[in-house]
Amino acid sequence: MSTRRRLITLFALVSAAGISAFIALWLWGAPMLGVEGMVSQEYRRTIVSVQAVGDKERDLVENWFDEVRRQVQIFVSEESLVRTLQALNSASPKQAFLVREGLQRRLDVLKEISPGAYASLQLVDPDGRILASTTGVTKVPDAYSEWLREAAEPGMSESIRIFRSASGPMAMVIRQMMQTDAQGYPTGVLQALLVAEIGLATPLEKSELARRQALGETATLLLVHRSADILLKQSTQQSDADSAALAGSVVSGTEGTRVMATPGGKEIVAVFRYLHLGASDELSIAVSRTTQEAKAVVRDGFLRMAGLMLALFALSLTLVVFAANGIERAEAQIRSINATLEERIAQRTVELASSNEDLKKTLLDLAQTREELIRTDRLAALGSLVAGVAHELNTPLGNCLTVASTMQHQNEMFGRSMAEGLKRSSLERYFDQAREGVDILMHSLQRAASLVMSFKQVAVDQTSENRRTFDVLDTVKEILMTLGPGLRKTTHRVELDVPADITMDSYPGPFGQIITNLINNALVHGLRDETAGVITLRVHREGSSRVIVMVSDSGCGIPPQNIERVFDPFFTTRLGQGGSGLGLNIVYNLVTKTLGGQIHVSSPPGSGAIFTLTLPLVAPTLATA
Amino acid sequence: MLFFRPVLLTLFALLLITTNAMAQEYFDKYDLTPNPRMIDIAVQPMAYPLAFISSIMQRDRLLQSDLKAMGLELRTHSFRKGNDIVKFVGDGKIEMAFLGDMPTVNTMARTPVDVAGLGKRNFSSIVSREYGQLESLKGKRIAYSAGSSSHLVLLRGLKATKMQETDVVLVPMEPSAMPDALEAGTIDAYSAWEPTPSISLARNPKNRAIYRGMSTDWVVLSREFSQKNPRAALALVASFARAINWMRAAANNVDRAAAWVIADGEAFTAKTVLVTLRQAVDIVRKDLLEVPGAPAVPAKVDGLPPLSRELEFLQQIGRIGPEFGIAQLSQSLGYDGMQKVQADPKTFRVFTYDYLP
Repeated sequence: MSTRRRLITLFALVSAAGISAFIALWLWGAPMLGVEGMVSQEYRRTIVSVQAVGDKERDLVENWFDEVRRQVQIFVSEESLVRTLQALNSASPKQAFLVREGLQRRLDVLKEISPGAYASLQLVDPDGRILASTTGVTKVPDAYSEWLREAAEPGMSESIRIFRSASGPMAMVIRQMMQTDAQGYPTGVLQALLVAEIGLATPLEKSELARRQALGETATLLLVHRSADILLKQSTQQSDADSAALAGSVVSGTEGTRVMATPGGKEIVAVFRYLHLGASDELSIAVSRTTQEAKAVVRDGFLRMAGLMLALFALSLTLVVFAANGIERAEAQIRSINATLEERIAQRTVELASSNEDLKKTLLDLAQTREELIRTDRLAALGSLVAGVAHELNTPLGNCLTVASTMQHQNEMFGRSMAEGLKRSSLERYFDQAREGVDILMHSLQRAASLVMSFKQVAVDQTSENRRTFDVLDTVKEILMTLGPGLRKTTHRVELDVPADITMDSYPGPFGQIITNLINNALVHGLRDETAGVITLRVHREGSSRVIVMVSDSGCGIPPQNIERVFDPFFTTRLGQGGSGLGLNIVYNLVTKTLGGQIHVSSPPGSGAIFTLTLPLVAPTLATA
Repeated sequence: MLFFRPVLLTLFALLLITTNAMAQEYFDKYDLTPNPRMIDIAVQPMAYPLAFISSIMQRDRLLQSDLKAMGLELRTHSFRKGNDIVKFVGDGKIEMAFLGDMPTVNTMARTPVDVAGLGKRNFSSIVSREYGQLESLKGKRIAYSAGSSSHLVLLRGLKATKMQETDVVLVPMEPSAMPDALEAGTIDAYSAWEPTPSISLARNPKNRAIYRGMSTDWVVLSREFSQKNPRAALALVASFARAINWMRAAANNVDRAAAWVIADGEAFTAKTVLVTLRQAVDIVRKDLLEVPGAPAVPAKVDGLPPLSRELEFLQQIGRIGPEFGIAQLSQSLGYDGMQKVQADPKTFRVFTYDYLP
């Protein structure tokens, strides 16, 4: 399977799992974590709304009933009514008729005060005879006689009965009307009973529209008797079977909320509320609605969410396919690159080998060049030595030649004088001149011989690495002598501070070359721009085994950036001006390898360069020696 | 050390048990020594609306004068719950008691008593916050007072939803502690009688009474007392009826009585009563004053003779044996003191009022 296909498959699987999990969480939540989903929320919302309507309907009925009850209580408390009833006991038949008519009117007025509240109002004497009635009946129905008997018991100032009549659910309120004495104090004797039949449907009919607006068309209200009889049903959609099931689940005298399935296959949220009609325990109110509205909300929400998820999935899939294509192209490129990689590596290896050979050759060339330069440098030093020797010998030899030519001339002159006649004075003059000339010749020739001896020694030392014991001061002077012609061409001078008693068992040739190179370096570099520079050469012992040689100048010094590199081979600041860059490198090698010492260079600001050599008085034996 | 630990724990447990056994009950300090000159009344200052009747009766000068004329004096003892009173009535140390329905039946089964009248007719409620349906309480912690009317209501609620006691976690608890426990989340619901549900409903709008069952309170007289001293018994019953008539006569009287009730409750518990004056007034109106015929004993409650359902429940849970039945119950309910008083209001002055300020 290609990467592209794997990627798309993986994305599809992860997306499907993610979308499923999201929708499941959104719908049902995570109850264990207390997270509610859409279904729970809608159910809760439905339950809360049904509970609110149930409470409202209960309060409506109870408040309305309390109001009516209070009217009845006020009515029976009217003193004039009590007096009228008491007067009835002693009235003649005609007067009694008139009194009853008066009572009738009073009941009519009470009924008219609250339209729809009273189905009937009756005044009944303790024996059950009707004294006055709003309905015109003259006899109490048998069904009520037992209630009236109980309501007439002492202390039962008020009784309430719930029942169903042909016109709907009724609450019968029965109030005792007690006889009073002259002071209006109850005597405990029952005068009459006021029987008020109150239609309980009246307030609920007024609230039906508002209930439907709050709960929808499936809203149902039932007034349920303790016997599970439905006394009132307000519903446009609920079947009788479903209503019966709902009524059957009402637990008399209790309140609660239930989500239940009806026989008709519907799920309903039902709220049961006890109707507190004077603490009567006979009637409950049940308000319900189906959950189909809640389910519809959940369904609509699900469709919207699913649509959104689908759109997001499609967009994401497009992006993944696009990315997968890009990855596939990149993979093809990588495969192609991998295929030519070995060939390219082989080619590069050959090229590197060739370069390596070139570098080796170059390195060899460099080594050869370095050797040639060293040789050249040595030859240059030898040339300089020869030039110095020639220059130094020129003076005594010139003197000798002059004296010899003068003596040759004097000899010719003396010969001619002798031919003309030798005079004593001429002979004495000739003799004096000859003696002076010979003296001069002897002096000059001795000087020349001495020079030759010195030059010979230096030359022998410098062209060889012979080890011997030598006096440092003498050696230094001989070296300076060879440098004399070069030095005298400049305005600079060399100052010596060398004790006479230092003797080294070392290599005087390399030692002389070191001093020569350092002095030449000072002349060429340090005192280049100076007019009267000073080169100082100091030597002193350090301990019993070492000698310190310091060569310093009063020149421009060495720039800090160059000081670490002055001993590097081929490092020069006078490239193209005769500098080979090997002078100090040779010095370094001779000091450290041949003489077994150390060399250090410093250039304090404001002064020239200082080369400090630490040399053993007895040089180590050379490995090649 | 590991060996000694169980021994130490056992000793500690024994010490606790002994300490508990020896712990004094709050009513042990009451002077309930039988005294022929004293009428001992057991009241519950925290049970509404019973406390209204007892608080008013304690301030009834007419009662005091009636009793004084008989050489008697009233002595009131406050109790936290009705079951604490049962024993004392049975022992003949209490002449009149204000009791809930279960303690009333328990008292009847223990000793002959006469029911003077109905003291309340309302509901015990199952109150919950998070759970809107009884079915949701499966496996949850529900606080209750064992053997009380709230216990009965809880069982009825569970039965209505096809659950049993074993389907929930029952947590025995004093009703006064239930609102705080519900708020703290240590219980998920509770079953209790008023005013506890009203306190929770007023405290947090999320709290709901998800189930209610009928509950009644009663005022009972020791039959020994009512038979030995029928005049004094009628004077007490008259004071009871007078108290209710006085509250029904004017709204101000109810407010005044509510202030007495709250003051008596705070004096008893030494704590601020959580019920407001308005809540107390609403409770007494709805649960007593507006109950038709109260305080007369109704012929039926919840479709059955009064207290018969409670008797059945207590017999089911084994608190009352089969020897006490409906016949004995009817005999207690058949006391006619209230009828005599109501039939002769002038003699018993049930519409004449004179209360201590």
